[in-house]
Amino acid sequence: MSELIQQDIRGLQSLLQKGEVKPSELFAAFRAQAQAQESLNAFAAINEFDESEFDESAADNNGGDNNPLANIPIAHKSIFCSRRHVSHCGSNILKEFKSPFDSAVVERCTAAGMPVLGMTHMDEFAMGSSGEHSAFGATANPWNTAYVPGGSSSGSAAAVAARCVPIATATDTGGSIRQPAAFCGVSGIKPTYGRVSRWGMVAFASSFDQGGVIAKSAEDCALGLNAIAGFDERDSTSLQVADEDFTAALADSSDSPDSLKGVRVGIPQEFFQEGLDSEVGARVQEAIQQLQKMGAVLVEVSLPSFRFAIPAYYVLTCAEASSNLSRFDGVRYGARAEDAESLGDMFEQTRSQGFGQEVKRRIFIGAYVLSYGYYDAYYRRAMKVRQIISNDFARVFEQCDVLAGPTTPNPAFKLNAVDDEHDPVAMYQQDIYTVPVNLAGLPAMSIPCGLVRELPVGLQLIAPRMCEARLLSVAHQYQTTTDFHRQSPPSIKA
Amino acid sequence: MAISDSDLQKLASLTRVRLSDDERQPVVDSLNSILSLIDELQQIDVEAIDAMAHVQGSHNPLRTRAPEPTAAYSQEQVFDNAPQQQDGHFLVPKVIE
Repeated sequence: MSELIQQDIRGLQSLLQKGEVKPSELFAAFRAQAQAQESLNAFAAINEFDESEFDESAADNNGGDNNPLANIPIAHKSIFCSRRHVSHCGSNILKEFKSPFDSAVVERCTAAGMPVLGMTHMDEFAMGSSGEHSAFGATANPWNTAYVPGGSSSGSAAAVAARCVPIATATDTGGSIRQPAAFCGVSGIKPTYGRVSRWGMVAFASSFDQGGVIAKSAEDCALGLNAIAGFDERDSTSLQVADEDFTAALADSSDSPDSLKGVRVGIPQEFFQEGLDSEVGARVQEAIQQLQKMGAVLVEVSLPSFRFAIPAYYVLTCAEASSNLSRFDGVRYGARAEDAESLGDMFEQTRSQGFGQEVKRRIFIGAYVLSYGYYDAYYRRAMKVRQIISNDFARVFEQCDVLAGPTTPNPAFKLNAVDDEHDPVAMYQQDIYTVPVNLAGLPAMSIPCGLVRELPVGLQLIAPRMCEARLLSVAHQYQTTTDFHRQSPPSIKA
Repeated sequence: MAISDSDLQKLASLTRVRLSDDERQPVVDSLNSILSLIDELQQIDVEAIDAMAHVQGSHNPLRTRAPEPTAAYSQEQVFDNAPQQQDGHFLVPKVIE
């Protein structure tokens, strides 16, 4: 069993095709691992084996090259609506909520023949960078359970790292795929804004939110992205572009030593300044040197407005969140406070009881920056800064093909180490290298590039809009010459 | 700019979130620390820059309304999640005081 749960998706599909394992046995193996790792609190729910989900004759009819994802178990972040599962979004206000419809992401994974192993925990309404802000308890990092897995896709990253599932869906508004992927030593991709339909993906900040996947390799991420990406007319921000096979570029790239020949890798100087842990910097520089050894040309670049990304991000996302979360009022779905004396009383009690502290803080800030007298000074100004940051990236991409740098300023920190009740900003600074990407709507990935004090750290790669294939190709080539992505947490048998 | 306790009370009222007396000062303090972060935005020159509302550029696709309802779920399914309902209506406490 330990060999099975370590396999990548193509390896598992090959075993299924050869009949060496049945789909139900594969599901059972991952389910057993998920149950064995229950103390991580990665899963909100682990499904029973459901015969109706399996096609035991898949070897004949599905799977193989035509559908490499058939019968591969998947876990979904609890932010995706699903008729069969509770999507609590890490919040008491949606504790028992089961949607009457499936999100586009869940629909597409089901259509690809992927049985759902379970739903994963997350920071409440995707607001968090540690996995500690769930109403249902913190998730632990499989590499060291005294440490955080990162967030907000905490459960998805921990589940993949602990080999409970080969792939999990996740979402990224300011780094919520990339940062937990980095902390947990796995690979995660946030696509170009608009690639993945947000239909049925509970909204935090609508102009930033994007669905993606976390898996053990860039190749597995490409397979997952193939399943979930694509135009959806139900999402008015969905990009009307032809479907793309994100694995095609991986097949084309050679495995020769100079497979990155001619690829211009930009190194933003602002990503290597004060605030970056020196050992993290060292691992990332080693990774960049590896890219160079593979033929890449390094280009020093600058993103001059970098330091305004975090403030702009918090103005805009809090504003959008305060609007988006106004729908949670106890009227039509979700929790409702009992014994309210009037409608207004019901709204206030429901929301006060149902939302955690971080969510409330962001709702207040959002309302503040949108309010009369402050809208121009904060919200409108932040929208202009967003344009400036996008312009910085556009200019930099005239000189290079991808950008490379650290995903996070430090490896995972200890549970309860950041006192964000008193200093929420300390937690916000965790997102310093990831949020600029969401402001510009670009695709980005984090892939493992080594350990710092026995904890994983990530290399972040950023590409221009619509260039996921390029991103995945560079990441994949790096993973053919390194094996950081194959390393399991010490507690997981290799 | 700093948020005062009375500012917080206005925000709480606007956002329909109630805070207890004990909760208010710590929330004021944490909001002010966030505001110090946000105030850094005043240091960048935004003259002659257009506000960006959409990363893809302004775009508002409309579609023709279908003659029949398109939802793939029933009224019954919608009411599955209703805290209180009656005769196809969501039931709420009295509105008029």
